[in-house]
Amino acid sequence: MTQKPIRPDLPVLSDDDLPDDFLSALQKLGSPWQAPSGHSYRIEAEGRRATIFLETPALTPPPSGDDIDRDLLELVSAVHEAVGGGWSALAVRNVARLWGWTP
Amino acid sequence: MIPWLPDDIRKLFPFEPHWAETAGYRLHYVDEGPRDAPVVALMHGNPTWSFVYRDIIPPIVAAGFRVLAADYLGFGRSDHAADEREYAITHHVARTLATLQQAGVQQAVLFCHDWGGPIGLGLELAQPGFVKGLVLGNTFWGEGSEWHRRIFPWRTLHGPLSGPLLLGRRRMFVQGLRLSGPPSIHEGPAWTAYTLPFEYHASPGGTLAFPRAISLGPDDPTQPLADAIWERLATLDVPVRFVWGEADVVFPPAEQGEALRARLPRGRHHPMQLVPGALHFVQEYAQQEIAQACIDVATEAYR
Repeated sequence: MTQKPIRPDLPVLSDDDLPDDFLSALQKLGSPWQAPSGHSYRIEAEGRRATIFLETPALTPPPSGDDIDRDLLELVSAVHEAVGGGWSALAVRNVARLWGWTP
Repeated sequence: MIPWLPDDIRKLFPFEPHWAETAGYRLHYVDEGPRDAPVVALMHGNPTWSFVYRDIIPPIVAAGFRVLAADYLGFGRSDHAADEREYAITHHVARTLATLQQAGVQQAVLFCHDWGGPIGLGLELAQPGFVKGLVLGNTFWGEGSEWHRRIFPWRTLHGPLSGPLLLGRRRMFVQGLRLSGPPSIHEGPAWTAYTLPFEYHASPGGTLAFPRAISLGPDDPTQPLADAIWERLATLDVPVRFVWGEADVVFPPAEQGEALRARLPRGRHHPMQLVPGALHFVQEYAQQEIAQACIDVATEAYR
């Protein structure tokens, strides 16, 4: 039996002003994108705006906000790596740490 | 809006709240001193609010002036917006002018810190003659410094997707107070006061929009405002003082400080007062110096 969503997907991140190279890199990740944690995220893009939704299938408790943030850090790092190389992804993680977040 | 404050914050910040209504938002401001006295207005930056002036307001009032300190939309006790576009700098200028006008203020001596520079100087563009004098500290006119042009850490912090995650979801900009402020605010009631606006609203407020609005070139949305301010500064013949955190890497005294001193007609009438060891949030290091500079400029301006 196929699981069907019983609640709408949850928008968890959006950016209204994505440059073309970032938009392209985000779309190349594919939608839905699966985080290493196993959670699934749907990516929608229109114009320069992109929104990422957490897919919330039936009978599955949603992850915590911190878990979602860790997933999103993986996604954002992957996009930055695709645009700017490994150094760019490392920069994202190091800035997070510098500003007080240790995922 | 935040209608009340916890007791431990009120002990540090005992001022009665005042509220302005503008463009559908409720904006908070402090208004101390006699209503008919000459006005000193204190302009905050990102991510602070009028709380940053808690020890600067009383001595200026004691010297006989009326002191106002407004919280911008998305900061302090003021409302937060749902739409990021509401935080455009020109909107901040218009709302701040409306707030001050509702308080009956038609002209003021300004202290400007960080984004308080473009917003405060924007008041002069919106209402010529508004600015009677200036005290500037670790601020700018809308164009970024060399530091703002670096990919790491600054442009990564508010970059594509990373900005909405780090500054939006994680509300990390307030951590900048720990990176660029004294240990006295890293914990306790002062830290609670600085984080409260973003915890209360469960929102980053205007903290993401401000970094993204710093202009790095002619195509940036803030550049026309920065150009207009830069043009106006050349003829803004008012009393000026500079009180500047000496160790600030964001707006170094030798870069933004000296550029502003050279640009303003009276910018070099007095030496820049450097605060040794002070980082970006100079108000947390030099309360007496800033208050005295405001008193000196206001005394000269309203002579």
